[in-house]
Amino acid sequence: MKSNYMTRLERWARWMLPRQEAEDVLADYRDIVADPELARDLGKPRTVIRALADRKSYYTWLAAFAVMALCILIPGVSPLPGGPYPVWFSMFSSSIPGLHFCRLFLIAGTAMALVWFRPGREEARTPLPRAILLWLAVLLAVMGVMWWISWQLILFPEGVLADPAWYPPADFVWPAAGGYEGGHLLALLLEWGAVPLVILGITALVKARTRDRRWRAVYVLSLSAMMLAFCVLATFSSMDPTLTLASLFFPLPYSVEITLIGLAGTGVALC
Amino acid sequence: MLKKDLIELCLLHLLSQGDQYGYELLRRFHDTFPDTQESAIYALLRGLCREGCSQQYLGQTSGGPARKYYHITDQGLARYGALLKQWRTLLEALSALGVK
Repeated sequence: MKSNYMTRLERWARWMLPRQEAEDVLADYRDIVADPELARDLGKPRTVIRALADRKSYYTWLAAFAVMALCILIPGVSPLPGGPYPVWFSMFSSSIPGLHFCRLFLIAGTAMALVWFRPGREEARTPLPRAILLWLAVLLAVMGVMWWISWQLILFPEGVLADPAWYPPADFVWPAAGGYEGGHLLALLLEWGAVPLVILGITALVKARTRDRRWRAVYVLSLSAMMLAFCVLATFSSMDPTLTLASLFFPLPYSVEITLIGLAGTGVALC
Repeated sequence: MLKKDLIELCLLHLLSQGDQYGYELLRRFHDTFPDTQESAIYALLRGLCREGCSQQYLGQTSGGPARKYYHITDQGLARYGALLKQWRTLLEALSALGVK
C-alpha cells in the first residue's frame, strides 16, 4: 500500500514538478508515508502534487513538451494516408528554397531537448542507464540500414529497382490495390516505420522528464533516424521514373546533414 | 486573518525556533492540530519555500540518513513578524468585543 502510494506520488511529482523540487518533496514524503498516523489522510497522489506545483512552471513544461512532441509527430505522420501531406510534400521540395521543414523540425526538436533537459549545476554524475544504451544502439542500426539502402541506390540503381525483394511489382505486394504507390514494399516500410520512432521519441521525452534527462539522446536520435528514413523515402517517391543520377543524389546532402546533426545532438545529450 | 495565514504563522514560528526537516514539522503540527490534513500543511510549507521565506539544505543526522532541513530566511522572519502583528491585533479586537 505504502510503496504503491509512493510509486504513484513519485510518478506525478517527477512529471509535474521541476527536478530538484520533486526530489525534495519525495524525500519529505518518504518519512511522512512511513508514519502511520500522518499517512492516514494523505489524499490522492495527483491532488497532493497538484497542490504543490507552481502552475506557471508546470504549464511552461507542458508547452515545451508539446513543441518537442509535435516536432517528431507532425513529420512522422505526414506521409501516412490521411496525414498532413503538404508537410511531407514540402519537406524536400526544391520549389520552396530555404524552407525545408525536415531540417526545421529536426533542429527545433533537438535544440529544444538539449536546452530544456540541460544538466543542473549541482547534479551528481550517475552511470548511464542500460536501456538508453540499448535504444541508441537500435537507432544507430536503423540509421546504418538507411545509409546502406542509400548507398545501394546510388551504386546500383538498376539492380535495386529490378530486384523484386526491394521494389516488387504492385500486384505482388498489394494485389487488391493494384496501384503504383501500393506496390512499393520498401516505401511502405519507410512510411510506417516512422510510427514506432514517433512513439519511441515521445516515450523518451517522458522518461527524460521523469527518470533520467539523458533519455533526450534517444529522442534526438529517433528524430534523426526518422528524418533519414524520409530521405530514402524521398528518393523512392521522387516520381522520377528514370531515376537519374541527379534525382538519386538530391536527398544526399540532407542525409549527411541529418546524420551529423543527429550524432552531434546525441553526443551532447549524453553529457 | 485567514486560516492559511494562521497555519503559515505556526510554521514560521516553529522554524524560528530552529531548523527542522519536513517530517518533524508535520509531526509537531499533527500533535497540536490532529484534524488538519498533512498534504495541505505541507503545500503551505513548500509555498513558503517558493516565496523565499524558507530554504532547504541537506543536513546530516547522527546515525540516520541525510535529511533536507528547512531554514527560515530574513524574508521569512519579516513575514513572521507581520503575521504575528496581525494575530495580536486580531486578539485585541476579539477581547475588546468580549470574546474569550
